[in-house]
Amino acid sequence: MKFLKFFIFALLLLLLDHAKVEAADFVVVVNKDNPVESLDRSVVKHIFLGKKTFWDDGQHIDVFLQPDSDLHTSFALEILHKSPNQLLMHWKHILFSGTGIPPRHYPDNNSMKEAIAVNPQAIGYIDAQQLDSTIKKIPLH
Amino acid sequence: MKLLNTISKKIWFCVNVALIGFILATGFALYSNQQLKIHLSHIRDIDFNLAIHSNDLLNLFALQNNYYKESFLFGSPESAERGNSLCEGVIKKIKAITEIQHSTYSLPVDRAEALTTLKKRYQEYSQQATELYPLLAQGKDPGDHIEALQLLAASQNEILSNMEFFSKHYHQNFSKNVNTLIDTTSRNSSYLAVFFITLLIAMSLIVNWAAKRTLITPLNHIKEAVRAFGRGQRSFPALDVMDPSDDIGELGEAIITMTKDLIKTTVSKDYVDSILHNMNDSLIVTSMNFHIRNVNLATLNLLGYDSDELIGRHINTIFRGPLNRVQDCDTFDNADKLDFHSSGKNEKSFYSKDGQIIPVLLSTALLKNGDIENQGFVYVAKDITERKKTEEKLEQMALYDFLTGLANRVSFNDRLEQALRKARRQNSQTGLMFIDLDRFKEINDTLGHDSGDALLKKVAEWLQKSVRECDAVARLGGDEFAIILENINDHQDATNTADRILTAFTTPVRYDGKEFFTSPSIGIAVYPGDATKTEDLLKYADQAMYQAKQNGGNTYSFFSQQKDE
Repeated sequence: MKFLKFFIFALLLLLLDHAKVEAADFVVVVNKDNPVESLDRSVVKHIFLGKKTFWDDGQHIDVFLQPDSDLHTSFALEILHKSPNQLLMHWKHILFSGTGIPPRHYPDNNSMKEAIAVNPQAIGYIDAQQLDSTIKKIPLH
Repeated sequence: MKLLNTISKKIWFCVNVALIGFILATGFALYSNQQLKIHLSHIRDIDFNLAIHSNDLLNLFALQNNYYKESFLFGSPESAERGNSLCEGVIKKIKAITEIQHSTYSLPVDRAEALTTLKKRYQEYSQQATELYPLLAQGKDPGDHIEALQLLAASQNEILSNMEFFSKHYHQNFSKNVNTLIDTTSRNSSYLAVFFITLLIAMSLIVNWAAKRTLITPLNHIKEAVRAFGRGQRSFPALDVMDPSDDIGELGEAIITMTKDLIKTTVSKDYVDSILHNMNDSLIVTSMNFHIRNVNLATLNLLGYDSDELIGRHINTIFRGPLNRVQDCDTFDNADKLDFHSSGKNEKSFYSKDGQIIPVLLSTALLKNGDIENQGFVYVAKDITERKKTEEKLEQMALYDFLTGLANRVSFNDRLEQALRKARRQNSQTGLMFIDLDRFKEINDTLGHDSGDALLKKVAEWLQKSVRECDAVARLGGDEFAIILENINDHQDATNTADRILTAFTTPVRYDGKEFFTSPSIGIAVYPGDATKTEDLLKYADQAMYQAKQNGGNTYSFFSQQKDE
């Protein structure tokens, strides 16, 4: 296990280095009907790591993720402080122990936008340049 | 207590009580140890095994889980295989626990059911897990099996918590039972201690009571009775109430019978004392070394002592008296002088407190204890003062003339022999004077015997007055008198005496209003001048007296050889 930890750490360093070179801009988005106007970074982290599963009005949070990409990587590193692999492991762990339902994956920005537009409980992230009126951007602070 | 009628039964009773107590105590300890053994065996066979197996089960399942997790997280089919291979072991463990549970008679139904459910649930779980996890490990997308995975995780958690519950439960059960056992042991120890002490006290009380009731109290009655008997008491109410069918009761009866027999056959000490005390003869009891132990009243009256003054003193106090006549052969200096084997009966003399000599007839006997041991001497003394006086009187009558009190012929002969022996020894002269009264027969015939007797008495008086103290006057019979003149120098001494006699006869004798005279004829012979033999001297004095009579009486005449011739 020690070896494993070391391995993950090394990978993380490598990825961090990579991210600095190619930083992609992302925005966190929700359905337009969602009353939420803004969120703390820590709240977002909790939501995407499966530790917060309900909105303040009691609705279940449906978390959407994009597959491994620069955008996903930068989101994972910046907001969740985890590499995509770590995130994967994290959710696998949750899945194995049955403590939560892992997020759904959408292959690109468009498909995610469509999914969020029809699901008022959903939350996800897209490339900032792809933002349009079908969905609502949540500013982070 | 009728049953305990012999001493051996009584002692056996006490011993049996102690034995029963001992057996009870041993049985109790044995029972307690047996209970502990059963308890310990149960813990060893059931609780300990259950705790170990349930813990093993938990560990096995956790290990399997870890393998599956590893295979799922890192996509390792080998780990999934390893996890699969543990299924059989887990099921075996559950079976083993179930079997142990079944072997206990105190099986709780709900736990047996829980075990069955667990087994069933695990079997379901393992069926799915052995299929799903290897698939996922081989790279299948978990996203397609989210529901199955969720179910699996749920049952996994349930099973785990169930197993944790069992493990915890059995572990708690084990330690609980061990603690109970420790508590029981210490409780049993204190119970046993209390029980033993109670038993000991109870037994000692019973034994003490029984011994006191059946042995000590009756024996004390007997002891008191014997003491009382020694003091002179003759009835013992405590002995009368004793059970005669009892050993000790028999002893009591025997003592009562003995005292009754003794009263019948023996006289009391008081009775003997009063007899001895009141007897007329003196009774003195001494020890072997002649110290006085006891005297009776007659002794005290006779001697004038108090009993305190005599008891403890040597017998010679009485035999010697205050004069301390050591030379007296009758004193008892040692026991050899006594004939122990026959009671001696002798005339002895006691000396009273004021120094008087009391003649006694003394009989001595050895005081024996049984036939063996000499205890001392018993003296019985009879006062013979009166008898002695009588004897002296008889002696007087034998040796002296009863009328005049002068020596008679018998004692005169003795005196004469003595005087002549003395004269022979001292080379001195002794005169012998024969005196005959002239015309005494006439006086006797005319004036009567009474007058004659009076005359003879008077003559005796005159003769005594006329001689010296050492000279002996005797009446030889009738009107014959004789005088021994000891140690005279010559004839003149005899002549002087004769003259004094003749002068004395000039006085008339008065009797019964009558006055009469008499005169003596005196014949004198002198030793050794006239004769050396007693018979000769007597014969010559007689001859000389006849000479005087022939000369007309009222005169004296010396013996002369020439006249005889």
